[in-house]
Amino acid sequence: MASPVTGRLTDRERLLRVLSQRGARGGRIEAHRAMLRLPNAGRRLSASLLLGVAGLAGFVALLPTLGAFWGTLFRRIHAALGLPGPVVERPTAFGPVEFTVPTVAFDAPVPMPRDLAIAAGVVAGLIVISLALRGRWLPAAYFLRAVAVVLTTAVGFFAFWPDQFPYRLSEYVVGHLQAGLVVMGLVPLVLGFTFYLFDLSVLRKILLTAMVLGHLAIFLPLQAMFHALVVSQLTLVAMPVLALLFGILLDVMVFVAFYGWAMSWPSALWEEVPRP
Amino acid sequence: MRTALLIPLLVIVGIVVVYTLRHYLFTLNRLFGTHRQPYVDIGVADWPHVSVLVPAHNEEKVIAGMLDALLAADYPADRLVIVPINDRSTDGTRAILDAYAARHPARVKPYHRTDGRPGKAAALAEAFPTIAGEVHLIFDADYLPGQGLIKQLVAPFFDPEVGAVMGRVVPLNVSRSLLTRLLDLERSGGYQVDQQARMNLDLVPQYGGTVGGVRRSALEAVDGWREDTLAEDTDVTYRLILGGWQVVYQNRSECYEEVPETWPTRIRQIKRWARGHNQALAAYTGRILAKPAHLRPLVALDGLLLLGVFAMGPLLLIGWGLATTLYYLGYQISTGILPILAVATYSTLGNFAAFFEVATAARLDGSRNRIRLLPFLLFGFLVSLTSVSVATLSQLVGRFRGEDHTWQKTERYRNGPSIGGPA
Amino acid sequence: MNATAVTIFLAATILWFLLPLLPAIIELLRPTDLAPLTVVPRDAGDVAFLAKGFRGYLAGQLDRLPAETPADFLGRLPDGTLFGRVREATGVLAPGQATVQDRVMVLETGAPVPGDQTFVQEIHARAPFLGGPRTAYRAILADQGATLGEGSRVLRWIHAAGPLDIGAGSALAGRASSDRAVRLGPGVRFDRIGAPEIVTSGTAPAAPAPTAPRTPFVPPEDARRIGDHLRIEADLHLPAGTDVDGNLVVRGRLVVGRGSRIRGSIKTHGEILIEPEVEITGSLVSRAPISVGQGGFVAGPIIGEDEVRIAAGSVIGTGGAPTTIAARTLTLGPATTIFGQITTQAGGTTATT
Repeated sequence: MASPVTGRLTDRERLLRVLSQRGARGGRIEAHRAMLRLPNAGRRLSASLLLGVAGLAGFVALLPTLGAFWGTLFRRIHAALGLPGPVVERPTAFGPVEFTVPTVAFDAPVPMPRDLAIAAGVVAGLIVISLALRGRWLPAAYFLRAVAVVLTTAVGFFAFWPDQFPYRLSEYVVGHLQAGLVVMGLVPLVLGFTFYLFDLSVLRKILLTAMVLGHLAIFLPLQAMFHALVVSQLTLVAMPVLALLFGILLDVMVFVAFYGWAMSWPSALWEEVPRP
Repeated sequence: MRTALLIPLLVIVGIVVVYTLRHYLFTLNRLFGTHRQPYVDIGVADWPHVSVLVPAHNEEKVIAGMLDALLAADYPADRLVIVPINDRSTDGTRAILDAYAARHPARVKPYHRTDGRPGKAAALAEAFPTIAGEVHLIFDADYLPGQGLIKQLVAPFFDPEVGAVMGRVVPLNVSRSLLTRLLDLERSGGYQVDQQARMNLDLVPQYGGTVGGVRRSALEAVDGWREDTLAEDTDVTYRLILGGWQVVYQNRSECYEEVPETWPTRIRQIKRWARGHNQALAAYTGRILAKPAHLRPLVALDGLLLLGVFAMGPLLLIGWGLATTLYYLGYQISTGILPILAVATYSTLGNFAAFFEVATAARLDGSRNRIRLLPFLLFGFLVSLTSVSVATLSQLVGRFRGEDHTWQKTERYRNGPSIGGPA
Repeated sequence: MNATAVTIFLAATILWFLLPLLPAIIELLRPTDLAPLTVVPRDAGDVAFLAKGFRGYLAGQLDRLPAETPADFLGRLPDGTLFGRVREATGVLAPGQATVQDRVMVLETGAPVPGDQTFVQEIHARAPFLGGPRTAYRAILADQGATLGEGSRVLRWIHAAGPLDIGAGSALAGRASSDRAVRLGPGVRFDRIGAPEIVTSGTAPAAPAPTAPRTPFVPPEDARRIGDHLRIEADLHLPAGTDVDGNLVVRGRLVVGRGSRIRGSIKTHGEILIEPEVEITGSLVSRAPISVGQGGFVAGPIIGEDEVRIAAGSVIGTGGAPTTIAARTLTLGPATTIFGQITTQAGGTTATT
């Protein structure tokens, strides 16, 4: 083993400081996980907040570009799928910034009794499948039952008040994109409070923010168009399920997935933590 | 109509936000706050007489491993008595206990129950008057205490104000299924962050019924164990706090446990917790709101929020119900309330801490890729949310019908009596 | 509608959604982080834990050295660690220019170690160990007694089977322990110490003047009996010569008058100021500073989440029932005796005079 020491005695204090942190046979002294905490609270919190606010400001500044990008994406998908009518730009605002978001111009049909009967059959099918799912598939069964419950409310609603459903497909798409913008706007702030605090490089922090926002920037219009397509084919009875269970809940899942991945990135903190 | 629905929904969302802030502040405190473990460094002392109670109902798979671990404890042998409480076992538990008692007559003194109300609380209540020792430590039969753990858990009782102590529970059977991996993450958040933050802030760390203990005189002062509760741990935590005692948590005092490996077992477990916790909610909310003189306002607030964690399940479901109704009424909830409900669906259900809390805890633990499973916590929350709500509903219905609560034992998995944990 | 385009679009949307879930899905299907957290079965609360570990390590290495290895030897241990053994050739330790010694050393000679040296690796002293002034050591395991010169520094741990004497102005980072006794000179800084008897240098104060008979404690009116303790929600001042029978929990500040006796334990949320010659048979616990006056005696643990000061001539614990002082910082006055263990989070020091 090469000598770990090159110290000159004039550097004795520095040498002793290094040695005091060195464990047996050259390893690092490891703090127990129960005792670990992060140093420099004030600096970290203020830096995180600043980065979060800067991220939000950057996002807001890019909104017109984002709106235009969504418009282009909508038009291309719209054309490729051969959907009826044009893509319409709707003016919207996010704080002081005004821009447009795209939407479709076609409407979804109100469900006929036959559609409701099919939907009721789907409900029954979901319940049967959920009851058949056992063991490790039980969470999936719970999710299917949640879908069945929401679909039941939709069937019930359209059975009694078919003319009073308050949403048109075009408005629904706009609402979905606007809600998505709220989620996107929250991303840098939430990361500021929950991720930037940790000892990762600024580059990684910016990278994660860009990845989440970049993913959502593409996913949100795809999701909106997906919903529009499904509702146009399956009638408005499908809209509540999509809105309540396959809307923002999925967008949040995207965020959590990125966050969980990024929190597994190595950090200086871990150099002090023993591996299990 | 819309306003009538919107107001309760906003109230629910407000409560959700309070819990979210609570998780966030706890996590920040754990990351940056002053770390309190004042008792853990007591290595030398004139140690008090201790009884280690191990309630055991049909625990033949695990009880021998538990007793071996306790017999190997680093604690003066003449001051440690192991009291396995055989709670009406019908398997080989009794024979195993009697064999240990025969081999170690001064150290292992089983208490056999043959009748009476079933359940851990009833077993403890019945055995308590017959058990000596200034400190009673309690372990479930499937736990594997290390040699140094007894001293660590006894040390806080040198503080005359401490009525109960709680250590950290570490899942051993992590690798068995997605469920065990999710529970490992949840436990991490619940102990490494939530409990330790409450300890740091001098709030209400919760005595969790195992890997912990109580001061005998404190328990006597608050009328002992109650046999009619499904969560004797929560119940005793609140009676001690209201009685002027402190409950302390020691993050360093770790002990392995087996977590449920199958969803049905998990559902039974969480339903029991929910019912027990709700009992405490009904019993102690008023007494906390009356705020005894010794209870600081923040302690009272934390106590109330802790009591309410299992009520969040049904509350969140009601919130989704209201949101759905408002949706049909044309109220544009999507831009404000829905994101909050969506986040809450991931993050707010009592012990099962917010994902920030969980991820932070896992990071502090030095865990790495297991944090990536974070999005799957949604499935765990979905099951918990439903189970807790069903349990609460059936409890309310049962209350009207005057039904009694029944104890349901958590299934054990270990194959044989040997200790299967890592060294 | 274009069915192919629709299919591609639906599939692309689903795949795009699943993309960020890939790390989670991969970890689920091909787990890489499955092991339970390592729970240390025996906590390293034993102050001599590291010394025992080193003894085991070194014994294992020396057993594997060739039998013909000379008694005086400079070379490597089987695991490659630089190693030196000194029995006769004490020239290695001769005084001279200050040097850095980066070998694990086994000293089988009682020859003194010169001053101003730096030992980067551990020392195992098989004969009585005598260190020169201002020498720094990573760690020392002494089979007999050990004496460190003034201004010495220990970076990680020191353990002596015999008495351990620490010279004035020394700094003991980490753990210091003895199977017999630790004697600390003035101005010594330390983190953790464990020994049957820990004493600080200096002279004990003169024997106290006879005090008046003690008077029983009269609790304030708002005191509340809770289990086995008496709880007081405000500050409390016990007059000199008070005799308290039982445990006290005080929400405020506590002053215990000279010559009092507490037959029980004390916990306060505020500062504890104990005047001279007070006897406490239980423990002393506070989140605020604790000060034990001259000639005091505390039988049980002292648990201080802030500063703890023990004045001259005080005794903590007894030979038959050793105990622990656990504090954020600790100051020990002259001629104090602690039977048992000291643990500090931010360091302790002995008085300079």
